[in-house]
Amino acid sequence: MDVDDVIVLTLAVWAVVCMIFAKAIDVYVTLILIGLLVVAEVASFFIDPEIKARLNPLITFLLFIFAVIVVRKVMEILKIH
Amino acid sequence: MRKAKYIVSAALIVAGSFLAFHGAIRANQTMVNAGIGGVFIGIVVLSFNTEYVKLKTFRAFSDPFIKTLRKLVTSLNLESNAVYIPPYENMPRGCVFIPARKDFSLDLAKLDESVVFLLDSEKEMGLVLDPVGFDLMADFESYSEMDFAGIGSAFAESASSVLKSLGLARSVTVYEEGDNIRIYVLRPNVEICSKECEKVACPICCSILLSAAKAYGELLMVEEFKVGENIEILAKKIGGISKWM
Repeated sequence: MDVDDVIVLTLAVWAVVCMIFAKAIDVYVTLILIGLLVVAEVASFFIDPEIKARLNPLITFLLFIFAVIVVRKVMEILKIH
Repeated sequence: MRKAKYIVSAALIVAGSFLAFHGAIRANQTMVNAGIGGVFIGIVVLSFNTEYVKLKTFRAFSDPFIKTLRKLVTSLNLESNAVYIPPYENMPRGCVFIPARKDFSLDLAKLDESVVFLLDSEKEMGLVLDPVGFDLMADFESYSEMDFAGIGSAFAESASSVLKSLGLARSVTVYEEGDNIRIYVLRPNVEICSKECEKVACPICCSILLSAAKAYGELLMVEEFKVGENIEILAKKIGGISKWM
C-alpha cells in the first residue's frame, strides 16, 4: 500500500466515522472539511503537486459551504436576540 | 488499475448523489450524510488517480543507461570519485564531474551544457555528466514547494518524504561533521546501487547528492559509498561556485 492509498483510506474512514456520529448535514460537511484540510496539511510533503491542485476546487467548494453555514448560524442568532 | 479507479470513483459519486437525493426526499438525515460522504470519497479517489510506472519497468529502462555510463567511466580510467556541482549560470541543471586525477583542479567557467570531456590540462581532465537525478530533485522541490538553494540539511526532510511517497526509499537522514556530510538512505528500492556509485550514482543517490550540493551551495566530492540494506554516503564539501571559478 503506497502513501496515496493511505491518504485516501484515511479520508474514507474519516468520512464514514463522521457519517455515523454527525446528526446534521452542516456538522458533517464541516467535519469532512476539517479532515480534508488536516490531511492535506499533514501529508503535504507526500502529495504530488498535481493532486494538490486537483484537490483545491473541492477544498474551495467545502469552504464556501462552510461560509454559508456560518452566515446562516449568525443570522439565526441575530433573529433570536 | 487506473481504469478501475475511474470506475470506483464514478460509482461512488453516482451512488452518493442518488443516496443524498433520496435521503433529502424522505427527510432521512443518515441517508443524506451517507450520500454526501460517497460523493466526497468519490472525488478524493478521482483526485488521487495518478499513473505510475511499475518499479520493475523503471529498472528495466534506467539500469542499462547507468551500466553503460559506468562502463564508460571504467574504460576511461578516471581515478577520482564524482564531484556534484550545484546549478549555476553555465549549468542550470547542475552537473556531475568525474575528474581523471585525484589531485584535480577545476575551472567552472569552462563548463557549459555542451561540454562532455574536459581536456584542457592533465589536472583538469575529466568527464562531465548531466545529473541523472535532476528531475527527482525537481520533484523534491515541487512537493515541498521550496527552492533548495541554501537551505542546508533541511532538504533531507523533503527528499525523504518524496522518496517514501514514490516507494523508492524508506527515509533519508543527513549528518554534518565539519566539512563532511554523512547521508543515510534507508531501505532504498534499487538494485543497481554498488561501490561504483562513488563515480556514477543511481538516480536516487544522484538526486540526493545533487540536492545536498544545491542545499549547501557547495561542490560535493563523494568520499565513500557503503552499500548494504541501507546506503551510507560520505561526501565532502569542497567550496562554493565562486571558489572554483
